[in-house]
Amino acid sequence: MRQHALSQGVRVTQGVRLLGLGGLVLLLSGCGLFYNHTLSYEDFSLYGNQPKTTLRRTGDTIQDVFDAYRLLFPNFEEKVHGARILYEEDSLSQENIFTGDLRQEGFYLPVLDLIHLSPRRPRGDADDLSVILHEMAHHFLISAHSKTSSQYWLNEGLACCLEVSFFDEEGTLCTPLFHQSLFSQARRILRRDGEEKFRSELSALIGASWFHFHRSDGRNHNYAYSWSLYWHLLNQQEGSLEERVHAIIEMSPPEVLASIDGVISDLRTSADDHLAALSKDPDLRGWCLERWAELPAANGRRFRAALLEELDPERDPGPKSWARATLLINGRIRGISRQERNLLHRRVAKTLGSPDTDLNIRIAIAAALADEGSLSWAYIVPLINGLEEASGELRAASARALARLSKQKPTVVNPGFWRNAPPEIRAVEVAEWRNWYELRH
Amino acid sequence: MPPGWRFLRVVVSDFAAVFERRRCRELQRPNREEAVRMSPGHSPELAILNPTSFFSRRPRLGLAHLLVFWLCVFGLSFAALGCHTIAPMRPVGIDQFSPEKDVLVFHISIEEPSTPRSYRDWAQAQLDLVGGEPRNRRYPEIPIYEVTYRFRVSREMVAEVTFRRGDDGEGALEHAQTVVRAVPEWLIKEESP
Repeated sequence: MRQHALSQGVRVTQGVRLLGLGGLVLLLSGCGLFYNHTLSYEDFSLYGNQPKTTLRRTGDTIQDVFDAYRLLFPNFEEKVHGARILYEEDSLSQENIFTGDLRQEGFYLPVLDLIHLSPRRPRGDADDLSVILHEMAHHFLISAHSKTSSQYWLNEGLACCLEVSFFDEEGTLCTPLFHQSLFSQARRILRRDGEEKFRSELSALIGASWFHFHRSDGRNHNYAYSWSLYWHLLNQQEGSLEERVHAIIEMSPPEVLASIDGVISDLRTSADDHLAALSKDPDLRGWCLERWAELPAANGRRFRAALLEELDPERDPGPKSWARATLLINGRIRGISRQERNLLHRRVAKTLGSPDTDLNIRIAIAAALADEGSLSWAYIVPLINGLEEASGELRAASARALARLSKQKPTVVNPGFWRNAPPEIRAVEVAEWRNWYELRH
Repeated sequence: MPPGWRFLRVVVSDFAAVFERRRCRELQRPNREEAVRMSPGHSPELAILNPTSFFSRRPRLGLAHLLVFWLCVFGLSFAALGCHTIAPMRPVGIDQFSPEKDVLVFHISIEEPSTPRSYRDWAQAQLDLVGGEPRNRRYPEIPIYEVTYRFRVSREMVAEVTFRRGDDGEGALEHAQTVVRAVPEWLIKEESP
């Protein structure tokens, strides 16, 4: 009997040793055993199976976010640990096959300082950035204030406020904090359920467990509730973002509950009003214009005023501003009269056709017209002239834009042709365009 | 002695002990002769020649075997219940038009939506049929820059597959992207590895 007990003890010890060895191997290798590539950065290690160049690009963006958050939260920095970041692309997405299904694009495990990112293309780099901003916000907040790891509304509220941030042309992180889609969702919930239910659902969320927050029937609405509450509280505080975040962390549950009436009042104000207030900040105006265009019933007068301010020559708008303006004017923004829209078309066309305009602005406008152009005769002549310009890039972008605007005349859109073909061959195409224009006018 | 050597020796001896214990268990069975026959020192050829050895060597059913058995039964039943038959894509009509001199667009009418990869594969097969170099009949001298296949189910577009040459406009036509608009959820799950 004693011998049996002894042999059992030996087996347990051996088992523990084997497990220890396995754990040691995994620990020493990080997650490198499971991924093809590991990139080590100053603040994190990035693991993934993508080609190294793709992974490096993502890693650089993550490092930019790390640096920007350091500036936003200078006192958090000492406590923020190095993170392990797993970057996995969906198997269909890796083959450039995209479906419209919704799914989780990232999560954060505080115990392991592990961030898992699985963004989906081809929605664009801005969407990759929003997932990184969201998960990194969790990492910063929980590293600095570990007690917030079980306050799910607070964590998701801050992450949703920060996920709409963007880098401006100088590489500075701008934080509008206003999440338009969650704002619209929260307004819809309030309108559908009424104040009483809204209030009770939001109150229940303040002490909610992980299971309640992420697995209950109403989980799809919890992000909208959390964001609207957090955004309201942020607006109530004063000081830097870090100070305001800290003040919210220190608030007791009764204090938070007392602010729900304010949340409802914020949601009663229209998105138009919130965007108009935000657009007074020149750094956020362009971002506001894009959000405005997404509204089903935007206030055209305010939109037009903000757009004209954005294109004010004294501000010296760059290629990005002009490309954005071109996309918005040609897009589906409502509330602008036909006459006002034509004036805006003419203004963009004049800038496109002027030889005094910076070449990059002209290319940006032509490229935007190729993406979202609507037929306005104001653009046709500057674009045909653009086919004969010295810059191959401008010629290629103009050809693509002409192909989109005029559905009647077939042309060559291959950018290689417009960049590299001999002038006499290109001249045949240009002559066709001029004949076509003369026949129409 | 290099550092860690002792630890490694202990771990290796642990592994050896696990295998040794397994062999000892075999030797302690009631049918000891058969167990000896199974031992590494015994010639396997002779064991195969012995007609009774198969039954006597069959191990007794333990908890692990029962577990494996039940997993197999459940696995098979789930496979039978959750199995979908995906019919190969059958186009019922193909239209071609050329919006530009070097751009081709095909409209393919199909009976029902298919898996995301099958749209790309079908379009790739069509492209391969013409050696990867389709031509616009009205401008046969101009190489095609972009080909798009639009799949429709009763007029509703369900998928769009685009092939394009590289950014410099040269090289072969390569798959640029496939965008699937309407796909049953079970088809996506079925395709995911």
